[in-house]
Amino acid sequence: MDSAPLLLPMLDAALAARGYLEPADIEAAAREARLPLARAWEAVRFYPRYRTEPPEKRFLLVDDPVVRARDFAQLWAELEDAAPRAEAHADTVYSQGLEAVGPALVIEEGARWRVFAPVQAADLQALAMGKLPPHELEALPPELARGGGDLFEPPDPLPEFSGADALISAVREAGLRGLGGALFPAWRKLEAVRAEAADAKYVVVNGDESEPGNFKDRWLMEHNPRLVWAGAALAARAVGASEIIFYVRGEYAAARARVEAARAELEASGYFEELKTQTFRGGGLYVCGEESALLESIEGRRAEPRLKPPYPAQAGLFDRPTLVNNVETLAHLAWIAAHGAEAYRQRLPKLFSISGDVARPGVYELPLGTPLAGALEAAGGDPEDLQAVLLGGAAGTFLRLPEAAELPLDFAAPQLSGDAVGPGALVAFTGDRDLWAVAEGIAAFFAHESCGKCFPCSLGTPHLHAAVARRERGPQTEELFLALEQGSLCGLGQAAPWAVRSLIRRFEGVRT
Amino acid sequence: MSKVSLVVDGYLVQAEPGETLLDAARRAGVEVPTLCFHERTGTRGLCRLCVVEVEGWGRPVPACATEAQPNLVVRTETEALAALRRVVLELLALETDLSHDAGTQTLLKRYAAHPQRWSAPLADRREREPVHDNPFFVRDYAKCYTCRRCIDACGEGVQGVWAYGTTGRGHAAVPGTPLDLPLPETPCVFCGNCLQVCPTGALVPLEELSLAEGGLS
Repeated sequence: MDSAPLLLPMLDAALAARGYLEPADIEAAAREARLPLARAWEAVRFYPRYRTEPPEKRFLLVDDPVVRARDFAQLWAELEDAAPRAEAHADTVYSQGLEAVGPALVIEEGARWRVFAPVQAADLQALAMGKLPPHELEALPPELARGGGDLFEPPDPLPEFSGADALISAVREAGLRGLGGALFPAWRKLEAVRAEAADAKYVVVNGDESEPGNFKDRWLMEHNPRLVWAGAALAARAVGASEIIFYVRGEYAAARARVEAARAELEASGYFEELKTQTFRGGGLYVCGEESALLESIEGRRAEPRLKPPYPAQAGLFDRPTLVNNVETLAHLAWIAAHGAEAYRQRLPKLFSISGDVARPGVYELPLGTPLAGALEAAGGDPEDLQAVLLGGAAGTFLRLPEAAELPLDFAAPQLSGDAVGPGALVAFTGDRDLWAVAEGIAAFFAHESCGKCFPCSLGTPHLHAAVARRERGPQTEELFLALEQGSLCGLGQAAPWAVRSLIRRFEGVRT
Repeated sequence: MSKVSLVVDGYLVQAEPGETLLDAARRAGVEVPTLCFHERTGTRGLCRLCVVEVEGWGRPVPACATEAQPNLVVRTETEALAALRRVVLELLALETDLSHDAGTQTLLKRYAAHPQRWSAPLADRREREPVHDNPFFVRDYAKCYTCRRCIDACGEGVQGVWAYGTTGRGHAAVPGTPLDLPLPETPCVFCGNCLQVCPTGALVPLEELSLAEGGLS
């Protein structure tokens, strides 16, 4: 790491001390980080947690695709009614990886978040009397990982490094892809970073999972962080990196604590040897998961996607070659190192976050290529009762049932129809659910998360949200879809119209 | 180094190594529309009006930020690109006071833009009050579309002074000063670079403003 300390951790320290930032805190952090005050101020005015006034108490209803399809409007009305009577402010917060255990409520006091799930309308009414909801949730229940799986087991013994050539060819033979959603062949990234000559190289673990519908990375960070650290250490050795930064989504407090505890244990046991490691609290916005925006935020800037090329493999963190991999990808890498490519190919495990109208929502490890109906049945869903599945997450598409029942959930088949497994969310909806309400929630999410860098996304996402709220469809809306998809700088703006467009195409076309 | 041969809108162009597609298009006499790009500040890639199609590539790419490569076949004016530019320009004109921005107004005409078809503005840009905090110029952010040229001119692009930064996210992103201080209390040296690079008339010298208003102020 470059010698100056990082800005965000210093701001966080000041924030923890007082609950908000004074100008003197920001000036001190800028000085320490050797950044112009204007740069530090940009960060303060970008990341939502850096308040500059004493924060009021807030009740935050978690807004995700599952609750949007159900009783979001009713719960919101109850909360708006109860909050002022408890001298709190009512607001919403987007998906917290709680789709399988919701509806969820966050109570924010100062810098402290307490999460309650599930909550019912009566629990929200009781807030007015000063009564907290009955079920407080610190982390996802471990048993949410259902049906067993190789990736749910801690690595025992920890995999050993067998050399860069051996590891990268095993990853290549295994067919491992980037499982944060982009599905880019993992070995190519490894090879690209390895090929660079530089005074320093980095491995960055992308644990910024913030896409509504997804919670498998949260589960891995909370319940199997050693496997992910092992994958990161192996990858670092393979590419010749000297430092690993594990970037955990800003709101995932338990995940961060457990990732850090696992790091400290592994370090104490000598597993990292000469590798430097650190756990980094993410900025708390969806765009932080875009790999170049993530690097910007570690550097203390606004988390805005960079123009590419250059790619992170060439010029990443502090302009050094950087391998950025998703949490699940590195867990797979560690498993491949321990058991070999052939054993991996026989299983082809993939984690799916399954939620919505199924009997047992949770994280499932299923063989790649499992038909959609099979995945839903594994979670206790009845494909006959379901009208749709949101595949991938907010940056995904609605599939129509029963038509899509036999679709193999692999890297190739969904793409033939313009869909993608993405990070692996499946949100199921029965026939009585309002898919437009779900699409409206997704459009609101993108408008809220747009970083403000490129014009099509910052201007287009609010108008997309307005159009979906009015249930508009037709040629003008299609023009907006194209401007966003073709014009936006990064995947956030590009993907913003996908869900609603698939809804219009598949559910409002000619019916047979 | 040898020149880079590529085709832009049917013309064979010999670009210098390191030139962008925007440069290459200019060599062919083609003016690709752009709002944010500025040679001296290094600002690029934000407005996305200059996106062009390259044969065999997926999404259109920003001409201002894409290096010319041998044998590319580039199209700068297609129906799809015109439709994309029209939507961006329309939303821009709906949300922003472009009355002092002749360049963007010309583009609105060129792409037959009808901002009204998107109904009411959603951002509160037009409601922003002008900032009078120094004796030299006004910062009227109702006219600003956050191209960031001023920020780049002040910071890493030209002056290295850092009196400006971007504040807010999404459609609320707007240039501001550190800690929201009045400009005279920032490192600003009143070099005037930001005024020179501002394309929208959001940064106006007081002198010009009083002339335009008949010397009233």
